[in-house]
Amino acid sequence: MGGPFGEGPSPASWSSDLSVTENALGHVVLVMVVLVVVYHGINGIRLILSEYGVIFARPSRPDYPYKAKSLRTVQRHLIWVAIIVAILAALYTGGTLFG
Amino acid sequence: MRESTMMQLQYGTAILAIGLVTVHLLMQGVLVPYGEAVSFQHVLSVYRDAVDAALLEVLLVTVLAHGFNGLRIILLEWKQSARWTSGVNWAVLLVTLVAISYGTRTVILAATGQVS
Amino acid sequence: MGEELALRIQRFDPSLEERPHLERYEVPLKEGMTVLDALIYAKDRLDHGIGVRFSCRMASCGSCGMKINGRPRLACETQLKDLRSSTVTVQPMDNFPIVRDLVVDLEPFFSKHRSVSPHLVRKGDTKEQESPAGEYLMTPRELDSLVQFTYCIKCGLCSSSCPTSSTDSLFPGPQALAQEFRYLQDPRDEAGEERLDLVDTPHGVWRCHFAGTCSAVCPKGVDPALGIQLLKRHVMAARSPFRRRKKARAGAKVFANPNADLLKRD
Repeated sequence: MGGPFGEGPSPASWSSDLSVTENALGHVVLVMVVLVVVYHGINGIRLILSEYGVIFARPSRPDYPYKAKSLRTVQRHLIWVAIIVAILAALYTGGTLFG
Repeated sequence: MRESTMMQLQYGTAILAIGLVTVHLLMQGVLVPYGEAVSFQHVLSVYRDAVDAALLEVLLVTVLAHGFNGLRIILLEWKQSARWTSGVNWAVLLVTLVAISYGTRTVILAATGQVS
Repeated sequence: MGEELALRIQRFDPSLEERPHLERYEVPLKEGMTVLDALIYAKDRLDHGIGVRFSCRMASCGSCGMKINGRPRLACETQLKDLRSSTVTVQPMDNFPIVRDLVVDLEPFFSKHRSVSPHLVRKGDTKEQESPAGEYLMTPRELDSLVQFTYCIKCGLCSSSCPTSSTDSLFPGPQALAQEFRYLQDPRDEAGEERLDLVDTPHGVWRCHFAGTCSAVCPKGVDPALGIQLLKRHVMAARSPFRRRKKARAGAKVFANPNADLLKRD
């Protein structure tokens, strides 16, 4: 390695360090990273929108069968959007890296 | 510092990071083919451009601040004692500052052409 | 009906055993039977030693909260037919120390509730408090903004299903936070700033990540998750650098009761 406070990378050391990740395991790790990051991002948008009250329900009088309002608003669907888009992004990344 | 201030920081860096990470992923894998994007010469040429280097620096600070604050929250939810809480707060702050400093040094070195 | 239900109850006596185990009881099924009915049958006819809390048997007291087939529910309002299973597994609620069998120690739960001052706080109102001339006014709209949170029966199911409550012992839990919101919204309460400061802490309202399990298991439709997100909105609005300087809410006025004479204390 070029060393953190050494003379820095050279084209040769850069390629050799990068080749550590350019195998099947490295690709799987990258796909996992993309999956997790995209899910985390969209879930975060759901949280920010809910907590700042952009998508929220108004309190009301509960009635049988007592289904919670907060679980029926748009925010519940955003969880599914997060999962699906994350899987799509991971598949695209997998295709790019393995293909 | 109030926790709501930390959360405003967390949400602010989150929104910023979504934009910057999207642009970064597009540049690394979509607009430029992945194999070429991670090659030594291409990476250096990106850093030589002032705007791109500035964006990468902002990305660095944003992601590190957001990430280490998130780690701090996870650690605080795991154990609760006065020593653990103050230890985690100081350790995370220190690691964040060290990581940002080292990253910024790298960006500056690459941008000013001291790497070839 | 002639059928029998296999009821598996988690038994655990901490003074005698190291770890819990499941015991199986055969309970004859009747139409309309609830899990509580089955438990009472098992305790009455099969094993007097089963430890279980119950009282009103109509989802009003909150005593019989437990984990039924893996989901936190009230035993008295869980119909065996709705479980669609010939084997029912009953375990004590999560996130609470077990006293014995299905009975858990709810003192941590109640003390977290007490810690948010779940009562109206008035400042400098002593004259009115000592010789009240009438009621504090609240419009129907103001009531509608908080009434659902008053329906809490303190059963503990929400806190037992909360993922944060399972690791963070300083987290107040969805029940206490929803009650904090209930009193914050109440125009008769005057401790708004103090309530916001109480939850704006490293282990306060911000450790809720809106999983929503609390609202999913609440048997009374309290929807604590909604209360907590609205509470976060209040905290952010109060701390925002862009906050417009609003006139401080004057609080509820006293409605002078025309029959005040009759109400005077002698």
